[in-house]
Amino acid sequence: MRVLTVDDSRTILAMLQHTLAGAGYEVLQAENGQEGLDVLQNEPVDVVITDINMPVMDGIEFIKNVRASGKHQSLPILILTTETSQDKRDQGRAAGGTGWIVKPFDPDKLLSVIKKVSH
Amino acid sequence: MEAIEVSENGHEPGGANSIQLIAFSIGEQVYGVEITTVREIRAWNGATPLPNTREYVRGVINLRGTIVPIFDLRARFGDGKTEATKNHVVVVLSVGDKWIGILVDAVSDILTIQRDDIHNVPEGDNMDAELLNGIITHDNRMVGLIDLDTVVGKENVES
Amino acid sequence: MSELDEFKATYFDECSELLIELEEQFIAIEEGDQDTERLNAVFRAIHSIKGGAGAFGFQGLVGFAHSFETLLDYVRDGRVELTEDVITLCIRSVDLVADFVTAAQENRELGADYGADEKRQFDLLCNPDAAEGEEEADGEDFDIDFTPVAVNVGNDEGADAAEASESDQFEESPLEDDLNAALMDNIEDSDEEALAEEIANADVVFDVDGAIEQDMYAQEVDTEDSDVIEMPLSDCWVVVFRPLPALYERANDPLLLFREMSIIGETVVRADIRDIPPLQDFEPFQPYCSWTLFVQGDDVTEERIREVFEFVEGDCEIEITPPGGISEQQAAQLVGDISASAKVVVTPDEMTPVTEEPDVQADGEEVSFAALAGELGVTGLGEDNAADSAEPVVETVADEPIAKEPSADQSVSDSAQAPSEPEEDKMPELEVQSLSDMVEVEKASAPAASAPTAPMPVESDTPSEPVAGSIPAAVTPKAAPSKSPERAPVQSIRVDLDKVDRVVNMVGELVITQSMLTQQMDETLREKYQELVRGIEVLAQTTRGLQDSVMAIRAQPVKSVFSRMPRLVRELASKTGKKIKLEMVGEQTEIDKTVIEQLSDPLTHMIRNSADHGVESIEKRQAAGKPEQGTIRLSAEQAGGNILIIVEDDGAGINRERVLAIAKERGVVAPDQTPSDEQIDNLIFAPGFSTATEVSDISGRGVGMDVVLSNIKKIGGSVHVRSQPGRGTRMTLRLPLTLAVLDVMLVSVAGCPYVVPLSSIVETIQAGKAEFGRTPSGARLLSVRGEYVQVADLATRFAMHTTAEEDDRFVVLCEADGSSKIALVVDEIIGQQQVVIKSLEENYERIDGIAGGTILGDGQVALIVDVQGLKSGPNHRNAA
Repeated sequence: MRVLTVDDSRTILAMLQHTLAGAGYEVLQAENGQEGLDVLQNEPVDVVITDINMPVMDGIEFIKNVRASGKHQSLPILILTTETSQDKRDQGRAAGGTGWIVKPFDPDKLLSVIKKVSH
Repeated sequence: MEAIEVSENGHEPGGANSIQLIAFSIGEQVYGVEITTVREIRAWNGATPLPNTREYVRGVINLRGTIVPIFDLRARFGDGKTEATKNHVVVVLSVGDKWIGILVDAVSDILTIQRDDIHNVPEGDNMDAELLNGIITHDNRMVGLIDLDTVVGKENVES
Repeated sequence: MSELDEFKATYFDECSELLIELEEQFIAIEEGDQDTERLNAVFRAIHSIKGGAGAFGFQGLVGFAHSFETLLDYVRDGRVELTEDVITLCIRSVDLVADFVTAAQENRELGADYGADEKRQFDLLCNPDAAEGEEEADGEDFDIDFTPVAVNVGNDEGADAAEASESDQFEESPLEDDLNAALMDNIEDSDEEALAEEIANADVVFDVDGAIEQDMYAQEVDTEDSDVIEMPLSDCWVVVFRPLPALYERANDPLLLFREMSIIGETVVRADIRDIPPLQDFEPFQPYCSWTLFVQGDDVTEERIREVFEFVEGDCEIEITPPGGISEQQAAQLVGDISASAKVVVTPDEMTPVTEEPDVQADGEEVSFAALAGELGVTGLGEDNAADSAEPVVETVADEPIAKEPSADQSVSDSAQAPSEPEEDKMPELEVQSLSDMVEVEKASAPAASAPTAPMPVESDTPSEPVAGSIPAAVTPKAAPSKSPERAPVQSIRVDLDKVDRVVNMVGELVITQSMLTQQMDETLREKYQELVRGIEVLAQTTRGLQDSVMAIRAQPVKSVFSRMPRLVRELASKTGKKIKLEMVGEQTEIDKTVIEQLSDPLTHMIRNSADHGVESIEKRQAAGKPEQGTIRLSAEQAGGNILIIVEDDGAGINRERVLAIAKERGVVAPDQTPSDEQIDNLIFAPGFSTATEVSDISGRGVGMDVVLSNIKKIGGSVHVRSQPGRGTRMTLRLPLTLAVLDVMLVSVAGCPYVVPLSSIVETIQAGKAEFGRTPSGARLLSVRGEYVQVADLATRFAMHTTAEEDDRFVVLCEADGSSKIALVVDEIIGQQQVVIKSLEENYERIDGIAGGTILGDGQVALIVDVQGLKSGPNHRNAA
């Protein structure tokens, strides 16, 4: 299983990497939506975890682009968010986000959420 | 440069209670240090003297790109400076996070001893008690276990 | 270092970068550039800081950053106007965030009310009416609880109603209605009779009443051993789940939801396919299928069930009925539904679907999964046996493997047609196949996109073949390759500084070896081996190039240090009540990372000094006819092999009278000495000197500017100050570009090699030709161009016995700091070369008069003379 993690925070990327790699996932990283799209262009990915607030291309745009690409309509995309204030999450979902993970995340729950959405 | 590498993880016969020592001599007296602290044994090839420092530090040598101080053990024990020749030996040791060399007359043996056989240093001379961790008997000879921390220690420097 | 510590280290690194960015952005914003992207950037920066803080449980930081972030969010979407006050608040808040970060880093707690004022202001700005209420919301936001609490589905009632009407409909005429609704209508116009016939000929007749009775104990067939598990309906939670299109658009998958459900309890799933329209009305992407889940288990609660559907909330209709909550009539309806559809038992682990005959009783036949799978395996891929009418559809779908039509939906549509087929046991088969597909897909780690795409073999003449025909389409996407080469690294890599240093060191050795080789080339050799000489010349060039490149890796813009200064100046200005503007120039100038790290403290001291002692109070400035606002200018530039860092202010300049008085009072300067203006200026760096007679809150922290000097010296730099009374003061730091390699003069003293940094050497004089004088104490002074310079005979100083004739020795005149000089007397000058600086302290300890060691080409260790240390040694310390 390959998980693409998209976040502009190295800390978060490192923590995701640690948790996911520890659980046997192969982890790809991107620092913003544009990089994320580039990865998806070239790499098979099974699950995407993306932050919302990022420079260059934010998470919402990223998800929209992924879904619009035609190639990734059934790719599960998890939104990584600290805002429990619904609207960000809803925007992410409206763009095509599959589910969400609330930061700070508990490793076990992160893994269970990935399991929950991955085919 | 002729150097004898000493493997750190050499076999250790005798089990957990036994330790191996590198035994070396200064004059007639035999001393030992735990083999696990020994990094290298090399012949004396001079050292760059250090000014303004302890009198028993002979200087520094280049050990594969790092600068290592050489302690003259005889001088450290108060018996005067060693008249070092090519036949004298530098035992490079790791003490804490530092590497140091000790200048001795000769390396004699590798001894396997039992921890239980180590005697305390009898009270008396302060310096002995400070510089030795203990004493063991090997082949009817007394071997003093060097307390490296004290040998290297800064107690009478920079005062 | 533990993993957590590593993460923390990463986080603090990141924070310092983000804080720098915040600082910069806000300065630009303050200057009127309120570009949206800037506002987004500051928002993101705070957001990231908060995010990481949450992960490590830095609650104070999280709370403050959250409020700050909220304000920034409001600002960027225009809900809060970005007034000057707001900007000021923001800039101050960045400082506070920095404090929180530092505190977290140092494992300290700031007081609970730290930043409380600002926080209140944020809240007031964002929510002028109910700022108080916000705080509680904050707490909720940062509940570490990972799982958001599920919210009511909202349209329960509507769903109920829909369900009711459907059920009603179903009740009236379960079988026919089902069949019609499901599939057969598509051919009703043309083939109604054929259909009727088919129905009549069907082997299976659904006995609804029987099914109800039977299904009060719904049975499930275990995959492996066909154990029958009994699951009384009255003990089951009943969940009716109807996906909306959005559910699939967001890549949610009912199977996964069911699997999730099966984790919380024994789950039986029945598909309801009555909504599948006639083929001509069929929209491939519409979710026509809904499911009823029967969930049994001690831990099952409504909350947990809703949690399963958390991500699809709003994208589906869900009705949850607790055990015993459905009436017999409803049960009948449900079971009726069920009996018209396929039933699947989902198990959590293997995700092995288990099917059961819809009506086992009816034909007394149980279908094992294994058998079905085997059968389907045979009829699977590659068999060209699709029914004619179905084929085009299948192909269409196969051509679009990207189409994300839920497979289960499809399979239900298949199963829905099954009752009309002669062999109704094909119905569960289909379900099994599509599910087992998914299982395989999952196991094969195929791209997520490959969840079986559902073909719609709507019409079939023969029971098994069209079914089989549909399978290739379902399976195809799974074949997508999952292996591909690793992704190429993006833009930059992070490397441990140690690794770079190792390379730097080795390159340094290489440079030295190379220069040694060059030195060995005497004229005879040169003539004899021209090729070799050329080779060595190329080697020299390449080595230099390599050295530059390696040094460039370590080089960083001074910006990382400069960027801390605006805050400092702001603080100083507010503490002193002065108005101070900081100008920064040349922030992109690059210096060795180690130098940069050492630069922070000296620079801080210098800026403090300028703000405290340089820039005058507003009143004084007004009186002097200067603008109220003082200016401190901080600049960096490269000048040859050095970097100059200049701190300049337009203040009153150094009060030389006072400096001299203090210097004399403290014994820094002998009472009878009359130093030049320049020398007086530079006295402020002298050890033991501090101009602040009153210990000022700012500069007087127990250390004076001598700290600047000693720090800068440590990194091989020098400090110089120039002051113009009434006009201002300029302090210049001269720093080496790199610390690792030093250009030196190699000398010998009593046969031992020493090196003197070339940068400090003014000239060399043969001792026989030098003019010396003696002081009453016996100390020698060198007279050079009318100036008397302190003499340090290295043999004496280093207590070494030299046999060299006094007149054959050499004097190396060095400039220690600023203009103060010292004359070193050595036995011999050997030459110039580059050396790699090695630490003595790494394995030993610091030695007075020695700045370090280096290894010469022949492997010998040479000691680096600490010129500054020798200079200050006898005056201020014990001369011995």
